[in-house]
Amino acid sequence: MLTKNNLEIAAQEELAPGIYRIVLHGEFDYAAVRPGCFVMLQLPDEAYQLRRPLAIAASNETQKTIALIYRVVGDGTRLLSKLTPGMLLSILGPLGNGFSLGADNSAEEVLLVGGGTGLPPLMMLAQALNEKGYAVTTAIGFRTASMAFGEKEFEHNGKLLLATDDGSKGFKGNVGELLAKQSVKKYAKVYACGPAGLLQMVQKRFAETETEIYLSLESRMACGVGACEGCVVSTKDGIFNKRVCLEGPVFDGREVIL
Amino acid sequence: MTIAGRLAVELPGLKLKNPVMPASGCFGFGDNRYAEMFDLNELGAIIIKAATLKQRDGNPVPRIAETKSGVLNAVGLQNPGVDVILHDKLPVLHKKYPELPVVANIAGATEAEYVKVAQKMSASGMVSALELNISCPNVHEGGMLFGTDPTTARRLTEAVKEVSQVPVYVKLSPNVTDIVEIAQAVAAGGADGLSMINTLLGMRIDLKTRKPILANKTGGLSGPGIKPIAVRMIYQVSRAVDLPIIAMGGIETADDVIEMYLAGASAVAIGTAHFHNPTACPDIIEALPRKLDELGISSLRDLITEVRSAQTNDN
Ligand SMILES: Cc1cc2nc3c(=O)[nH]c(=O)nc-3n(C[C@H](O)[C@H](O)[C@H](O)COP(=O)(O)OP(=O)(O)OC[C@H]3O[C@@H](n4cnc5c(N)ncnc54)[C@H](O)[C@@H]3O)c2cc1C
Ligand SMILES: Cc1cc2nc3c(=O)[nH]c(=O)nc-3n(C[C@H](O)[C@H](O)[C@H](O)COP(=O)(O)O)c2cc1C
Repeated sequence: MLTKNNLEIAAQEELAPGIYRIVLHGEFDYAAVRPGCFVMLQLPDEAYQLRRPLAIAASNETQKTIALIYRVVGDGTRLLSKLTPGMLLSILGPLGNGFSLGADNSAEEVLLVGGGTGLPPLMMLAQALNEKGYAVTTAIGFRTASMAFGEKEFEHNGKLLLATDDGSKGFKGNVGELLAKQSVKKYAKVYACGPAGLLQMVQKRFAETETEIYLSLESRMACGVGACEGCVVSTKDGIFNKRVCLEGPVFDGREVIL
Repeated sequence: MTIAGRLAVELPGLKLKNPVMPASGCFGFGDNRYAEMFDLNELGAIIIKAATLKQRDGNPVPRIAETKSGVLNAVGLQNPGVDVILHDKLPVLHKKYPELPVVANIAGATEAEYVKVAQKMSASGMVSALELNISCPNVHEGGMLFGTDPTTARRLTEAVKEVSQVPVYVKLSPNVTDIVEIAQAVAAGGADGLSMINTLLGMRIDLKTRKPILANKTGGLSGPGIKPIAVRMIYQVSRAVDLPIIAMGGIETADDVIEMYLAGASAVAIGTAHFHNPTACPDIIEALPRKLDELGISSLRDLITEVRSAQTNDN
């Protein structure tokens, strides 16, 4: 069920320079949360007319908490990073379709590919896939070692391939270059979230394979509920025929046009 | 059907149990997840997304940008076309909410297109009124061009009135030097009411890319930042033209609604407020009676009469 509730900030920490993890506590339809779903968060200042879309990085029904991980990129996320425990935030969600997980007890190999702020939804996904029995490999990239976060979570749920642009940790180069050195045919599914360039790379790299491709998109949006036609994307079936907020944010990589 | 209650208002074609309706383009055809958060039957009416003769794909993305106390949009009237709307969208809306009055926003690139859409929409039996959109700033043909020249605006109003089987509200553009002149022109063209205001043409530039944020470069500004402009324009127009006005432009609260009534409005539409408060409409409807008590207003109908007669004395 879609709700708009005030959740209390339970904790907030800086994971890496400019990357924050915020934990929110309160009433939410936890049962409806799937990896890849997001919320629209209202900043506590009426000058911000638009809620910020942020992916759900973790959800805990017993503790009644969700965690969001975000990068400070503008005024809104900067304000968010200054907020302290005890404050209330209006959260609209859960929104979006989420990733398609496939069958239980599958031993298939799957690949997760992420960059930058594309990582948060993949964390929840890695755990869900691992629990289902999939052999999860995650390939993620950062600018430099000090910017890295989420390694522990991904290692806990499978194998981690790490790249840094400057080679200060793991493979030297970006995730695309890292994957270029690997055989990817073994993967039954690939899930990607991150900047447009990364999604295009995945789309291209797997185009000739049998692998199922799931891409999670970002777009500037206003309503988050399929009402305003702000965040549209095109697929093979038509121009601007899907909304990232409603039919997405996850799309079939063989259908969606980036 | 008679309507009762202190929030009830009556406008041409619209007998409303309360004056609150979602504004065009901010609520689709009622086929969105806002409908999970409250019962649309609570609304006074609904104004649906613009309908054009043929399907429109709209503008490239990004279509949305934010500014302090406002939003810029350049959706570009994306809609599936009047036939699909009449075949797929309105019957669903009508079936789910049989009592909910529907106002159909219509747009076109040429007069002939407007006329065809008006004909089809108004003959459907599913809409109570038309909102003639002569004020969309986000399309490159038609749209706002019809709303910035009094002669063109009047001609179009006459043509649509000639074919429409339901009352016609003309939605005015604030992007003009003298809105009163346009309002008088469409009144002379036979408009049954006015709807005001549409968005103001604006732009935002990204400091890093040095390019406009919106792919369309310009967009329409809405939200609380434009409310004083809407109030001023409604105030001016209601003094010059004897037509009921559906007010919109930055309305977020019951206070805002009353302010619009004091300017000269007869009903209100809520757009941008949904984006931060998805239950803006039911929240306002719930808050209105208390606000009327507080201000010593017996009913909205009385308030309209009071404001209109005070205006006559002013003049
Ligand atoms: C479905 C979805 C999930 C997302 N998940 C995450 C996440 O888990 N972690 C994270 O760090 N970021 C995520 N983002 C991106 C995040 O929404 C933006 O970084 C954030 O809105 C920026 O807000 P701001 O006020 O700091 O930036 P400003 O640039 O000041 O924002 C101005 C406006 O532009 C919008 N905007 C700016 N950048 C983006 C963007 N990249 N995508 C969408 N809207 C944008 C803002 O929402 C706001 O409406 C997600 C985006 C989407 C669509
Ligand atoms: C995303 C968006 C889409 C809109 N689409 C339409 C439209 O299709 N037709 C129309 O007449 N007005 C459209 N409008 C204008 C609104 O109906 C309204 O006139 C304007 O936004 C001012 O009200 P507000 O400040 O409450 O949003 C749109 C506005 C927004 C924000």
